[in-house]
Amino acid sequence: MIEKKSSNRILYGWMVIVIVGLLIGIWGAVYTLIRGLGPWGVTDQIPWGIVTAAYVFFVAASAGCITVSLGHALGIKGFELIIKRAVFLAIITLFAGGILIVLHLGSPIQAYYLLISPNVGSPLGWMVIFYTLYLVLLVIDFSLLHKNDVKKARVIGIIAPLAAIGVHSTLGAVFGFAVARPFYGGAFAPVYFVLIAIIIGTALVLFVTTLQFSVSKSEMSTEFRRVTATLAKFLALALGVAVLFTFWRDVTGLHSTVDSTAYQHSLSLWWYWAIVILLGLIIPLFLFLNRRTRTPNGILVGSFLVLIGMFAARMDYTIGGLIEPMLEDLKHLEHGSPAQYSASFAEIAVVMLAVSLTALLYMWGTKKLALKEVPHHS
Amino acid sequence: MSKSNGNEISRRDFLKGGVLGGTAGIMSAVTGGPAKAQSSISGKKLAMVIDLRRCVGCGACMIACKNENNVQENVAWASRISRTVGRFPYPKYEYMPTLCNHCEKAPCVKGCPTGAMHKADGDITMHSPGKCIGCRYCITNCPYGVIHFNEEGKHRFWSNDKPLIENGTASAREVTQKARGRVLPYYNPARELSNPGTGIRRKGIVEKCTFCDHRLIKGELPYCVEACPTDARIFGDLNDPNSEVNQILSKFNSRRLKEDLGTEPKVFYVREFNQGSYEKTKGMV
Repeated sequence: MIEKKSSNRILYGWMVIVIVGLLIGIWGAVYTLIRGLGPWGVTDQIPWGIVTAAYVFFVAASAGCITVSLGHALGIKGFELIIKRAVFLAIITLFAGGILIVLHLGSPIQAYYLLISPNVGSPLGWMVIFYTLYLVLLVIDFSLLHKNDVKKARVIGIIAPLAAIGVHSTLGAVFGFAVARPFYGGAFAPVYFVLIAIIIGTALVLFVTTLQFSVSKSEMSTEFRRVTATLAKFLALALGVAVLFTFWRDVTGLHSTVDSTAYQHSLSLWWYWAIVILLGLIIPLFLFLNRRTRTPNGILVGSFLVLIGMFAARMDYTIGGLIEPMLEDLKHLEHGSPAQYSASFAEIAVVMLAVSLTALLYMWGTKKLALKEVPHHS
Repeated sequence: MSKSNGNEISRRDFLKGGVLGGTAGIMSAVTGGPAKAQSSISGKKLAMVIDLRRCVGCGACMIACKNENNVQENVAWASRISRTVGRFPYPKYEYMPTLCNHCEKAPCVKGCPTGAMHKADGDITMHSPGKCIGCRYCITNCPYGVIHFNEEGKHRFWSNDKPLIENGTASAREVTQKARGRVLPYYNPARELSNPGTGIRRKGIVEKCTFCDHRLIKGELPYCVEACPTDARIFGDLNDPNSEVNQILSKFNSRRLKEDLGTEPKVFYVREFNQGSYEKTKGMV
């Protein structure tokens, strides 16, 4: 009884935080739609800021659902416990990402030109196509799962990951195609983005699952413990690859033949080392590798750190690639070298909208859509 | 000029002189360059050569561009690279005017999701404001930093209620209302000529140098070329073997910005801003 009361109190407190976040977010969205991007911190030299980074993060979170989706489609035992919430999370994060990208446009009212006048050579155009396709597949997948039609859902579970890889690797290509900005990784950016998606998506599913058990103070069943531990081990593998990627990217950047301003800037930031590297990669890697910390609580902490670190890493990646002015004179004219960016309150509010909307929709989903329900294996 | 023609044709028709036999020659003689004789720009590969030896670094091109295109503060369609290199007692000042390079393989055109940024007549890299969604991918993609995002609508001056002279003049807001929003400085009637509906520079989209296509279709030169007091900017058609740009490019070593990226810029630089000289030696240890 007492436990239930304290759990309710946590829930109410959480609701208040989410609703305040939502209200600030709605203000930010309305303000942006009325005033345009003038009040934002983005400039001609740093045209993409925290909202773009958050978009990459949310789409990654959505596309990363493929680990659970594939695990379920391949019939790995235990994945049927989390598949439904993973697909639901993928839908709502993709939806929140959509809000971010629309608000990030200078003229969202003209966005229909993406459909009536598409440029087949543009990775951005393809990203929109894959985005739409993925959203449709996810909704079909979820409705099938909701009807317990596991057989058909598993077929979609094979197709949807292809669209997920499509959406996030073309998003990587958007950055990679910017030839003048080697920091974005060129041809390897799309592959890197798929890795990022797997990490963020898996971490989000783990975080939400373990948080639910932690808040409700209920004991995790053996099957749940097993599937979260399996995912945590998989996440550790992906984090290991990310460490390798990050190490070689930074070392390549400091090599003499590349213009190293962007890399040096990253490496000179305290939060790059503290949040991106230590909290986001190294500590969770050890938490997930060690059998003693691969407990529900260890996974909760580890996956939360991964999410924080990965968001900071998206900021570093998106903005870091832009800080170097393209022509020498701009350095002297308008900014110091490198160019500066600080997020305005309106931009932060827009990101808060996406975060709180995701939280609110998930809470609604847990209540109304029976996300815990286990679809039967055929 | 039209008077000297003697026929009953309009000035505009006359400026379409390229189709009239012999007119091109007359125009060349009058204007001193083949570019002015061409009224239609389709099928041409328009390019600019900037002779840095002639350039005095006065910045008239930048001012002229702002005048012609009504570009607001903090935005420069025409800009420059300026820097001081070397150390005392041998420092050197460098100056290099810049503008959109109208690349043949323009990354901004390749990346634009709606085709708002496109290659237009004369191989000009052109932007259609009507199709632009303001995603700013072209800004990220441009290796030269010459694309700008227009964050502002009308200049704040035009919403000012206070008249310049009390009971004497109208306030700026009244003028705006009378003009139904079509007010300076962001209205450019000349732009309407080449791209109807784009006279008012809209908020929330990107914009860039157009090689002054509204002037080109009238047979005039880009305004930065026109305004250059030392004739350091030479404009013409790369497809025409006799054009002045081709003649100059055959005489001097030319270079373009960030050529290694493979964007094939069409703004060429010849000679040096600073004409240095030195005493002949066999080198020093």
